[in-house]
Amino acid sequence: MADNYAMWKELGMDIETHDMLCEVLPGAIGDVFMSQENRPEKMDFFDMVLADVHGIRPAELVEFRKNGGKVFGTFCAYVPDEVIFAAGGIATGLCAGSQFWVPGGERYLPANTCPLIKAMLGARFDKTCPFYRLADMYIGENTCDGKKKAYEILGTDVPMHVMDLPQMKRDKDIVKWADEIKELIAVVEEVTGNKVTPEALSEEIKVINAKRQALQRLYDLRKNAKAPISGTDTLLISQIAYYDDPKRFTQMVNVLCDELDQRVADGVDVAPGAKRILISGTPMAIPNWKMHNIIETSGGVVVCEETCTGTRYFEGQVDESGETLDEMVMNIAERYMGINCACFTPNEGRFDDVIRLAKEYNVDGVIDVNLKFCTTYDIEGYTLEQRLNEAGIKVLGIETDYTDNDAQQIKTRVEAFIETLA
Amino acid sequence: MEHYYVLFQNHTDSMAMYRALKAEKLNVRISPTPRELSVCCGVSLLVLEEDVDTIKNIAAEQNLAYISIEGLNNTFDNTRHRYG
Repeated sequence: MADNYAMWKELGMDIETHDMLCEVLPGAIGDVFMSQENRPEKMDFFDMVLADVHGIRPAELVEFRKNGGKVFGTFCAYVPDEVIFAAGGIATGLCAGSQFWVPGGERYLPANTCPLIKAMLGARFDKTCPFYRLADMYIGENTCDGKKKAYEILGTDVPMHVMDLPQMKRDKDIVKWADEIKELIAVVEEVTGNKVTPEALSEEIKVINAKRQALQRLYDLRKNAKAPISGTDTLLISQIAYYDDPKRFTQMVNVLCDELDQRVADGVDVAPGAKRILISGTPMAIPNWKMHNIIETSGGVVVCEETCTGTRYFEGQVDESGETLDEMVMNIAERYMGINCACFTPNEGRFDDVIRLAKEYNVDGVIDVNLKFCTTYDIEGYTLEQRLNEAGIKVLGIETDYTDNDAQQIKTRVEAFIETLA
Repeated sequence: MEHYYVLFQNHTDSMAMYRALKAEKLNVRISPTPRELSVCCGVSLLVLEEDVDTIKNIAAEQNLAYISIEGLNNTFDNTRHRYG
């Protein structure tokens, strides 16, 4: 605890302001997680990570850097961690899920920018997140106009590399993304001083694939008619996936899944009688648990997320058969270009995904949740609703941000929606 | 008091105690430390009031480090909808 303060001071953090965040988080965690009954025992690892979210993992990364290691901060499911780890670096997600950071971001950005982007800048410039302080370089991507322009501002304060993600999915776009990955390799090689060898990249492809498999296993368990784990707990796991050590994370998810296997066999149900809900839409970074908490206290249970903190993060594996660097890079490009983000046009794949997942997880309804001012996802809401209606699947569209102000209003809408589900 | 927390200097001590109490089949949960009890974001253990004396004995027997065990009248309200 005293160690945290010394570390935060060393990282140049504004400790007094950061203390305000430390003040409110334990209460929120108590309300959202500790209040749940019948949680899996093996959530204990994830509870530990969360309880000291700005202490334990940052301390590991600080130690890694003291020994000459380089840390790369990322914001998006499109950045291929495999490459960073293969260069001997560590990739860590930079969360941006708290309203606490939004006013700080509004000093640099128009108010009508999505809260995720505002929180990114607030966390960096207010010096209130250790992950933002310790990353040697940020790896961005142009998945929306807001992020793209915000990276220019972030880049005035921290080394920044932006990957140019194609916005269509033709063959030439996949080749273009492979070129971007090669450029990323050159960047991480220069920063770390290490070469990305075929042996190292092959190994890291397997490591990150194993992580995706563990998450797929967790999600598959949620397909059971009796939910062995809450959506809120699973969301926390998906959030932690972005920044924990990949090997340890995979091991802990698999340990949890072993317990869930037993729970399924024993017929354990954390939400008996609740309506099964699929959430689609924008990412939910720590500590954004708002929609899951509202749904799961309104007669629903979230059984799947078609989001960047859900299936978009882990579905699809990188083909492990590549032998040369070029082959491996192309395999990585193909896997990541398979993610269906709203930044692409056309993006029929995403609508197909939502309908497929709704069937696979046997959901009663879909709640399409979009962060305010996320234009691409907001616009896709129209077609998504049409496609779901055609498939006979009920859908509720919610636009919200990180504030608590609209929680009761949303709760009323969610409760009314759940009442309409057969 | 509504809840009882075992407080520690660091998460290594917390997890050592957690494993020991689990081995004794006690009802114990990992929790962030409430600010009312300590100015930190550290890992505490949430335990039952009736187990407090047993926990002190286990800590003494197994030489497990902790700062103190404190009660707090806080509630976990899943309908408060405040997320930080």
